Amino acid sequence: MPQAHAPVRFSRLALRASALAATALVFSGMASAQTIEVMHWWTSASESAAVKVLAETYGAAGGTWKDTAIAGTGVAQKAIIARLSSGNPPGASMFNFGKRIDEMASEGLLGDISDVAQRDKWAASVPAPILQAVTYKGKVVAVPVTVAGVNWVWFSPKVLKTAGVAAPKTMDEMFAAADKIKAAGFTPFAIGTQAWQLNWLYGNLLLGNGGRAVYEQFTKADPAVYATPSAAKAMEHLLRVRGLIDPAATNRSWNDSTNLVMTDRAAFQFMGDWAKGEFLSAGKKPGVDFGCMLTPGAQDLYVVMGDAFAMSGKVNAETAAAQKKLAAAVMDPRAQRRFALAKGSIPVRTDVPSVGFDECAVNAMKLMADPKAVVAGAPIVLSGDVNGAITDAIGKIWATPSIKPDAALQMLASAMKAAK
Amino acid sequence: MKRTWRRFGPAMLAISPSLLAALVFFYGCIGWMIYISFTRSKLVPNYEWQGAVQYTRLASDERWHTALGNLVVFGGLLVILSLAIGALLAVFLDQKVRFEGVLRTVYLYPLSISYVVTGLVWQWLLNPEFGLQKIVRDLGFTTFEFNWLADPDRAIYAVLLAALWHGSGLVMAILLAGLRGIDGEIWRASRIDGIPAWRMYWHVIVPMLAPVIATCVVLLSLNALRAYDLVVALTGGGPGYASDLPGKYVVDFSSERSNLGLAAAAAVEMLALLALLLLPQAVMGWRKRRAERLAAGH
Amino acid sequence: MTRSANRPPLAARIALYAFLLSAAAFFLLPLYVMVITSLKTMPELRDGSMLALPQGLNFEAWANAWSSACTGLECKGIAPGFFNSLQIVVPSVVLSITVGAINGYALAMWKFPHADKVATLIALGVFIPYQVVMLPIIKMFGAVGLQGSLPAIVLVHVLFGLPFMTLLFRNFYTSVPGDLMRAAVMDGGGFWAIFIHIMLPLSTNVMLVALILQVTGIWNDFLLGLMFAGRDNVPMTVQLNNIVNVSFGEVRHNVNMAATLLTAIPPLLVYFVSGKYFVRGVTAGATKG
Repeated sequence: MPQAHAPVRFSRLALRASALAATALVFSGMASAQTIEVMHWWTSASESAAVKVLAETYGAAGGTWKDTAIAGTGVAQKAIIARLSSGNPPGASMFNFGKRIDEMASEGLLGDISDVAQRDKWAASVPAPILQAVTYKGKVVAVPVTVAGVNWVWFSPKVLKTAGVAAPKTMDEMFAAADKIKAAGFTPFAIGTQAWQLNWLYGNLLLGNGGRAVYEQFTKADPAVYATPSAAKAMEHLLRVRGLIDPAATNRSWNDSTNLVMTDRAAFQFMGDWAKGEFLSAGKKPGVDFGCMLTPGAQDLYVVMGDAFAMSGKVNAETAAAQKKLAAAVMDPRAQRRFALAKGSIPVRTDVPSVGFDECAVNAMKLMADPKAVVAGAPIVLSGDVNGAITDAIGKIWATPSIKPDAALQMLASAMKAAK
Repeated sequence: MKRTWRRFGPAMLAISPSLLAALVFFYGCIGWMIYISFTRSKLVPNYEWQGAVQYTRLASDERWHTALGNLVVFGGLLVILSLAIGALLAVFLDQKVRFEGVLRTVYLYPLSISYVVTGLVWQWLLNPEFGLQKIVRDLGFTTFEFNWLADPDRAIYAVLLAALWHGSGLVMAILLAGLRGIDGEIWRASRIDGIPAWRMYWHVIVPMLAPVIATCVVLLSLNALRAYDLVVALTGGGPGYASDLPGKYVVDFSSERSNLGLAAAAAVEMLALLALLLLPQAVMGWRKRRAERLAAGH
Repeated sequence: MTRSANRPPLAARIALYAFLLSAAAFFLLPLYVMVITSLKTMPELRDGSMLALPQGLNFEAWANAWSSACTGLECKGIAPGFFNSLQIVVPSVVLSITVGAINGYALAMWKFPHADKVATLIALGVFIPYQVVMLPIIKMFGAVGLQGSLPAIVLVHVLFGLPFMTLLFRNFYTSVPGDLMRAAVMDGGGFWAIFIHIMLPLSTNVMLVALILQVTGIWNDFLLGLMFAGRDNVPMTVQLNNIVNVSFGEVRHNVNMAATLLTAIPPLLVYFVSGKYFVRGVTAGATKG
């Protein structure tokens, strides 16, 4: 009797269909089981393009990248710390190389990807200061994503040529050149007088006048560094800069200052790698339209900072596996190469061929590969509090036109001491 | 006791969730904050007792002193000027003006704009290169100066200007409502007696509106105390830290400066300041209630 | 009743209007700048004056801001945030006003023992610096698995709105004549019956004030939404921040202003439509001391 059989046949068919569906679900579930949520603050066009490279690499390895981007470093960091403290952390979150990673790790909020680091032999291809920045008490807690240089000086070849000066190799040469540039009618230094930019400048002046030894004394937050002759010379140079900037420098943003160099109205800007991105997106060619050199007096050193994806701790097995996959994807040489090209930075791996990178990057990559040349920058080593305190002090120093170098150095020393 | 429960049971039950929430989330968190202010917590809370180290640091911290000084100047001027502007607008609007509704909406709408947007737009307007300074200069006044954002002594006044733009309308609305609540008889009587308008306002109206004005003062002081978004969007606390305010100080140190302990200490000092401000009002209110109770023969 | 007593001198009237209109210009200036900037093209912005009228009504920036501006890896504009904000604002406003009204009624009309002290305890919460206490609250929510979700952000908004709402309604209900309450009790009305049938109908004005203040405050909130709403429910203000707060490359001011205006429209509309009710509600004793 067809009526009686039909329901049975149908239900058996339905059973088989649902079994198949269930199996398919299980398999697709396994693939999407490697979903990882990544929180970061890279929201501009070039940064987003770079993040996409990593997301695609992760996807090609069989995972799903869940992107949580929040604009503004400060805002994003607040949100990241809140999530990590809330018991519902993302799989991975962006941190600058620095004390914050240590603090999060010391609270047990970060995971452990030492096995990936061992397996993929990061120690052989990542400079020691960078690997140290992502390691806490022997455990690797984050994967380095990008590295940026602290001691870059961007300059306008046209301005230098017109003023009849060569690219300076020492601080004294630089300031002698600055006087000539001013006489020729150009602005020697392109800078905005925001406290952080001035702090950045002073850090570089200290580096250029005192070299590695003095700089490392500074980054170890030793207030006695401000009693050294190099620091005194650097302070004199800083106060001289006051007369070597244009009137519109007040409170100007860093990228508007870069514009001055780009349009050949100013000679030098001390700024990190990201300034190169401004030139490149305006279609300027390195070596032709703009020049890049390292801080005079320290041109054999590459002072680094950077960003990492910190792996959250206290996650389930699935997320932990996704984290390991993420670490491997980020450190993949091809991904590193494409990422750096998209972002305008250089890879954290030293074994990526420098073909295709612009001449500034090539120079930097060469230095990165030399263990003697890489120095951990102030942003990595100084705590947020100390850095903030000396930034406040420098802002105050700049706002006091009549201040003498000795008094200024005293201010910095006591600010550093109070914040330690 | 049983009678109290029978009579007031539902009311007490109704209020209990809010009371509980207030105790746990408000006072519990304040207690937590006070405890943290005695630790060296960096980015995340650390519960090891360290004594008054953070308070010692605050006592000699120039930036904190600047922030507190700014709060007095900013808060004081905000209250006084908002009241003045709001009062003028309310009094003038009360004079049977045409388009009163439109004007009232124009004065009131800035309240709907967030502080972040307010700061953003005013930053534009005060920009020396393309803002009001340039516009007036283009009109021919080539030496016109209006660059408060770059001047450490004036930056806090830029914040004040934006805050006045944002909140004067509320004061106007409250005062206008108060004025409208005054009996027309009083005005008629004053006209018959030949008392000039300004004297009416000063000697009669203001005392009558005293509670309304007091409410405005409280609201405005609150705004000054909590100011954060506006400062960040408009001046970033700068130049340097010249336009810093306690609210921003606390947030900066609890996040970027990785010093939760110091931030908590600063917040505790802010609350202490507030308590001091409220103390006279509280004492007066307590005395008044005690007098009422005595009079009622409790 | 001479004319001079009734009609103020012309000079005074002119001065009055001059003041009111100048004030209006001051208050309208920022809105004017925002609107015309959003209607210009980038070349116009670069070369022209900030106050100059746009050369044409160019709504491209608006379309871009609504549906295609990039907020991170996604380029869907600010529209998703709009619906998230709605989802957050509606329950938050309804709940916080309801709770505030019930609290105000209980505290003002039922003088149970220590009612004044309870009122003060709740009202003082208005002074809490919420940025500092956010962290322990996040931990508490996290401990019960509530963190990063729509219920979490709604609860937070109700919580932080509690002091002011309670104060507002309590002030209002103390101005209601005591006889009304006594009559209702004598008629045998209970707590809830009196609230629903007698007090609520009286409260339209103060409810409107509360509605206006809460809609504005919660819609414009940024930090709480960022921290508590969870990544799938971020309000419009967070998306706006992602569009506007970009520090690299060229800043597209027209898109930024369009996005800013889109975010500001709901509270603006509320004020435009109900401004007069706001004043009326304030008159109805909502702000008695």
